[in-house]
Amino acid sequence: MIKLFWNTGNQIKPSSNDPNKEDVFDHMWGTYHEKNSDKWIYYILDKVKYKIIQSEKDLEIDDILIIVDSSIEKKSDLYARLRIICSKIFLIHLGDEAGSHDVLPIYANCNFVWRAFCSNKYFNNEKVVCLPIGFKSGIVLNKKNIRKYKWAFIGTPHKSSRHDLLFQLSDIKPSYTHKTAEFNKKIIEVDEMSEILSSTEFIPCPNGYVHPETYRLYESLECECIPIVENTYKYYERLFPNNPFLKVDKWLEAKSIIKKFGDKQIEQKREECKSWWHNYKNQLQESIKYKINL
Amino acid sequence: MKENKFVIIDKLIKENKIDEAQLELSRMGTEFHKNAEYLYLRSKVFYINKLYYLAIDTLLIALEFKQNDKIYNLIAEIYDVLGNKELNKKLLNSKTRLIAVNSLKDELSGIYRKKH
Repeated sequence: MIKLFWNTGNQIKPSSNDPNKEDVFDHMWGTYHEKNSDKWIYYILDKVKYKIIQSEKDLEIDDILIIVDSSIEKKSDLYARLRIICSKIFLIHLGDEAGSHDVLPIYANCNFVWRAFCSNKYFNNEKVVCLPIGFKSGIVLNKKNIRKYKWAFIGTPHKSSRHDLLFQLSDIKPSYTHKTAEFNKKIIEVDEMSEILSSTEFIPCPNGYVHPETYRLYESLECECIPIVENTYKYYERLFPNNPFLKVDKWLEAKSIIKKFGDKQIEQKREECKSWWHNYKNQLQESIKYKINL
Repeated sequence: MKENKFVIIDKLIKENKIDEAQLELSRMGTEFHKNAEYLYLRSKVFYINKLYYLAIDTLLIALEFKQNDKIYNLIAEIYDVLGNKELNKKLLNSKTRLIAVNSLKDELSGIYRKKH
């Protein structure tokens, strides 16, 4: 039987509240994924038939396991046990944005791994592929909305790219901005976020804090906006060859794109992005189903 | 010894041998991550590769370790390319550049700052 075990919440209990401590960081992200990545992961597994289990105790000999996990470098004993019980292990590895841990010993226990945050360390590894980090659970398109905002930015201006983005686009109106001091702190709720995204034409998607990938891209695609991504190391061209996103080296270029695009061009580009995302998600579901049922 | 290494890398950059310079920089250990000259050279490579924001972030960190004209001038040059003329002017003026950089850093929560 194929069983799914969501294990990101299973972390070492933090010994303090200091967010710079690794145990606090791991616990925070484990909880974050449980709450905010579930819709995306269940969506990509939609074509696979499985039973959800709550604990490794619910496993029986020769079960096929799909495990969704984070901070796996601390869980080598668990994976060694799972290897003994299960006939196959498919890991969906969330987190590890910096790619700084040696997770290959854990991957060695698995038949196949989908990992978020692509890293060139695994490009030549035949049983590891990149998985888009996806959108935050609860982000949905409101089809009734009119696209009243030209652009919107919701997030933390932690580095110079985001600062420049806000500077460059500030005179393009109407727009919506909500700046937060820290990731996931004093945020707006997903319902409101869905409303804003569904009312916006262009979403600038600056790089994430460590890695180029950002949830914002997938949230904008879910809400049928036009994403404008940073072209750093041609990351998105390599992750999604022939994608239709608008790409810039500097936000000044985004300014002129937004100003130049007329209604017809916006509609055309939006349709292109919408159709691409729909097809991509479908292909992803099929490829996961194929790999698990092989 | 390490000063020699920096001279060699700077020469490679000037000769437009960017990949070689990049390789030399990546071979240097983590002990250089708080070295202003190393960070400056990394920024130059980022800038040449059109990775403007990585270059600025790295230069802002370099200023935490050493106040240096060439660091301010390179940040100013990049802001000119980005189209922020006001910041470019403030950064080129020795009387206003420190305030401009500190004000910028105050807005950016993700840039490393030494505890004073």
